[in-house]
Amino acid sequence: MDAQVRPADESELVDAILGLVAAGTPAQVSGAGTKRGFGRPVNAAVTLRLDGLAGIEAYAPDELTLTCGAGTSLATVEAHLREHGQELAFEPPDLGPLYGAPPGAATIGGVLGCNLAGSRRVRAGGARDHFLGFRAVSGRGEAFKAGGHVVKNVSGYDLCKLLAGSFGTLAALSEVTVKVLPRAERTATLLLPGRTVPDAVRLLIAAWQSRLEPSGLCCVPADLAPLLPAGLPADAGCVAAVRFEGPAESARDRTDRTRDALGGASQQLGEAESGAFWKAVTDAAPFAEAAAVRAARPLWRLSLPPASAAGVIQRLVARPGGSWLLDGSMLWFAPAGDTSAGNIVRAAAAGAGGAATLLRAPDSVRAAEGVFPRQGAGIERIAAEIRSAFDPEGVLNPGRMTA
Amino acid sequence: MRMPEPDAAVIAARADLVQALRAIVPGEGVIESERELLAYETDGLTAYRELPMLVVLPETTEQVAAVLRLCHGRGVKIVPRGAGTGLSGGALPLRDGVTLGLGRFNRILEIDYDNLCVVTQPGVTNLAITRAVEDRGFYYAPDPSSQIACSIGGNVAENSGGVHCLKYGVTTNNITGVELVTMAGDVLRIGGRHPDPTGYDLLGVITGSEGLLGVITEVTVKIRPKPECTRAALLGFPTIRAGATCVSRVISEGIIPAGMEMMDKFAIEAAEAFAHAGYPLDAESLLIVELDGTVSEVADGMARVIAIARECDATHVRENADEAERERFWSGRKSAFPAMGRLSPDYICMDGTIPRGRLPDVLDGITALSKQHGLRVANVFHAGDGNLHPLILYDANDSDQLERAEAFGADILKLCVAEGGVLSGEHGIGVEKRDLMPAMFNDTDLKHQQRLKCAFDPDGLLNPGKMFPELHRCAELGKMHVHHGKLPFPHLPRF
Repeated sequence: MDAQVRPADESELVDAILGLVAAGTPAQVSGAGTKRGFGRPVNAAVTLRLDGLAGIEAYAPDELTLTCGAGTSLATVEAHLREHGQELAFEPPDLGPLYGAPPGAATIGGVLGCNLAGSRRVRAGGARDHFLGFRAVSGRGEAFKAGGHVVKNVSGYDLCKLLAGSFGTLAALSEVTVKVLPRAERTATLLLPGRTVPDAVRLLIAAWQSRLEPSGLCCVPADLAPLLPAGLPADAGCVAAVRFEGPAESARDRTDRTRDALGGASQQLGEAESGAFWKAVTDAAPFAEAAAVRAARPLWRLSLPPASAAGVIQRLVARPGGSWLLDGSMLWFAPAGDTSAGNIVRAAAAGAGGAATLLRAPDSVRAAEGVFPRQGAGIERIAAEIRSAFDPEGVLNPGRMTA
Repeated sequence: MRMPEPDAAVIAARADLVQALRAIVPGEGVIESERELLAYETDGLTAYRELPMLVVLPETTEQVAAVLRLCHGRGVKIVPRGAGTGLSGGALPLRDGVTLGLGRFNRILEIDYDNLCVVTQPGVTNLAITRAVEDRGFYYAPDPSSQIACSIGGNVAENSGGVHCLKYGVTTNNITGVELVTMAGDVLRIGGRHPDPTGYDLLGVITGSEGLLGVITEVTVKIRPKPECTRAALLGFPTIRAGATCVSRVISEGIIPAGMEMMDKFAIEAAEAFAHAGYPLDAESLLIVELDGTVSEVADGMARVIAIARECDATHVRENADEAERERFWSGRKSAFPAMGRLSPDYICMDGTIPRGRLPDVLDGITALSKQHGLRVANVFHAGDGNLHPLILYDANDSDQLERAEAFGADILKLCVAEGGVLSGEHGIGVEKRDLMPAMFNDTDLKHQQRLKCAFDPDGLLNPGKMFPELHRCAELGKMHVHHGKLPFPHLPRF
C-alpha cells in the first residue's frame, strides 16, 4: 500500500523532502490528487500530499492580491474572492472529473503547478500570468521564495513562471500569491449556429480582432450540442460562441454589436445559461466520461495559433476522426476508439505551429508514448539541467514531465 | 561599482579576438577604436561608465551564434545590449568583455493579423511595432516611457512595463515566443504563435532575465485591437492620503483603469512649469485616471471614478473635453523626468513597488529620508500597481552628492521591501540594485535563482556582475550535502 506524507506546515515539508532524499525514495507530489493522470506515470511508492498546507493567509481586495497555502482548495479561494466581488481572472478549470476525481476538489497549487486556465485566457492570459509569488521547498530540501506580494515586480528571475506548469518536478509549493481581479457584473453569450468549421473559426477570429473585448471564443461541433441549452437543432453544423463580460449595459451592447457585425442566425444566452455553458467548456466537461470510456479513449489538448484551428480540426476529423471542442486557441480532441492516433495528432499540431499534449490515456500508453511534446535537444538539455539543479536526487515526481 | 575582476589574459589577446570576430562579422560590425567605443560606455543609468573591450554588431542569428561560440571557447565575457536605454545598468560594459549590440536586428519580419501577433527582430523599437499595425487598428500594449527609443529585445530582457500595464500586463504577458542564442552558441526557438508553454516555461524565465541567460534574436509579440474609446480625468487632492484613498476605492469598486498615475506636489509644480499641462498648483497630490473600452463602458466608469474622487474630497476634477486635452494631461506626467532635469543637474529615478495601501506611510518615510540625506525628491508613481518612481535630485559634480543620492535611493528601496514591497517594479536590478538583493532575498533564495543561470550559462560568461551581488560557482551550487543512507535528521520517519 502507498505511504502518504501530509505535512501541515513548511518546516514539516522540509523534513519530509529531506527524508525522501536521505532514503533515496521518490514521491508523487500532489495537491488533492485530482489530476494524477496528467503527465507520465510516476513510479513512486510515496505520495507527498500538499493539501495540508491550506488556508488564506492574506487577502486585500484593493491590492488585487491573495496569499494562501498552496494546498488551499480552489473552491475556498474562489468563495473568498466572490464575497468581495473578485475572482481569479484566468478562470481555473476543474479537470479532476476528466480523470474520475470528484468535481470541486482541486487545490490552487495544483492548478498553478499544471498551469491551467479556462476560456477567459483569450483575454486574461494563463495561470502563469497571475502567479505573483511563492514559497516552496525544492528537491534539495531547502525552503526558498521568489516573486513578491505585489502585482508588479521584476526583482530577480521570474521563478513563478518556472514553477507554473512544472508539475511538481522542481519544488513543492507551500505558499502562493496570486493576482485577483474584479468579477464582471454581467455575462452574455452570443451563439452563432449552423456554421461550417472554417466559417465558425473565421467568426471567432473576427470577434477576437474587434474592439469589443470578448472573454470567451468557442466552437462546439454538432455531436457536443448537449453542451448547449435546449432549443438549438442538433444537426445545425457547428456553433460558434462568443462571451462578453462587463457592466450590464456594456455586455449587452457588445453582444448586440457583434451579432450585427458578424451576421447570420444567432441566439443569446443570459447570465445563468452563460455561466453553465462556459463552465462546461472550461472544464472540458463533455470529455469527463465514465471509467470504461476513459480507458479506451485518449484525450489530447492542442495549443494552436488561433487561425490554424480550422485546418487542424478538418485534418483530425478526416483521420483518425473523433470528438473535438475548440476553446480559444486550445483544441480538445478525443480520437475515435483508437489509441494509436498519437503520431497524427502530434504532427497535425506541429504542422500548424502548435503543440499537442496527451492529457489523458491509460498509464501504459502515457508511459510508452510520452505526454508532453518534444522540444528539441537544446531546450530539453536546459530543462534537464534545471531539473537536476532543483531536484538533484530526483525525488519529486521523477519522470512526470519527461517528453 | 564593484565589477568582476578583469581577466588580464583575455585583454592581452584582444587583437587576436578582433581578427576572429571580423571573420564572423565583416566590415564595420566590429568596433575597437576608443573613440567609437565611447558611445557604448554607459546606458540609461549614466552614473556608471566603463569602456568595453570591444563592441560587435552582428546582423544575423548565425553571426550571433558564431560570436557567442567563439567567445565561449575563449572564455570571453559578453554584455548584450539593445538600445541602451535601460535604467538599471543592465548593459554596463565590462573592461574585458565584448558588448554585443543588437541594433542591426531592426526589421519587423511578419505581421500576422489572423493570429494577432507580430514577429520581429529584437532591435526594432517598442513604438515601431505599434506604428506598423495601427493603420489596421491594432497596437502593442506595453508602453515604457522610453518607447520611442527602447528596443523590443531590451523590453524582453528587462520585462518592461509602462503606464498601461495595470490593465494589459507587462512584457511577459504580451509575448508568445522568442529565438534565443545561448552562451554556447545554441539557437533555441521557444514558444511560437500559440499561447501555452510546453514543458518548463523557459519563455517566462528568459523574460526579465536581464541578458544573463541568452541573447534574444527574434520576438513574437501579441497585438491587440485599439480600444474604441479612451478618456482621462485629472483629479487634484488636498492631501497625499486623499489621493491614495481614491486609488484604492476605484479598484475596490471593480474598476481597472487603463492607467492611473499619481504625482506629489513637488512633481506637480515641476511638471506644470515645464509642460503647462493645466495641473492644479494648490493640490498636494494629483491623479490621472484613464479608462478605455467601449463608449458606454468608459462613460459609465468615468462617472463612477469622478463620484469616488468627490467623495475623497478632490479639489480639482477635470475630465478631458477632447483628445488634445487628454494628451495635455499626459504631457505633464510624461515630462516629469525632463522637468526634473531643469531643476537639478542630475537625478536618479528609483523604482520600488509597494502594496498600494502603504503609500501614505511610505511617502512620509521618503520625506523623512529626504531630510536625513539632505537631497530633494519628487515622487511620481504608477499608482494603480503601487510602482513608485521617486526622483532624487543631486549634482554629480559634487562627488559627495552622488554617494548621498545612492544611499538615499537604497534606503527608499529598503523601505519598500520592509513595507511588503519589492526592489524593482519595472526597471530591473542590473548593477543599480544588485547589492540590495539580499534585502529582499536570503542566500537560499538567491542560490535557487542562480541555479537557473547555471542551466543556461554554467561558465557565467553572459553579463556577469549584474543582478546577483555574489556569483557562486555552478559546480558549488550543484552539490548537495546529503549522503545516501546517512540521515541528517535521524528522528524523521523513513518511508
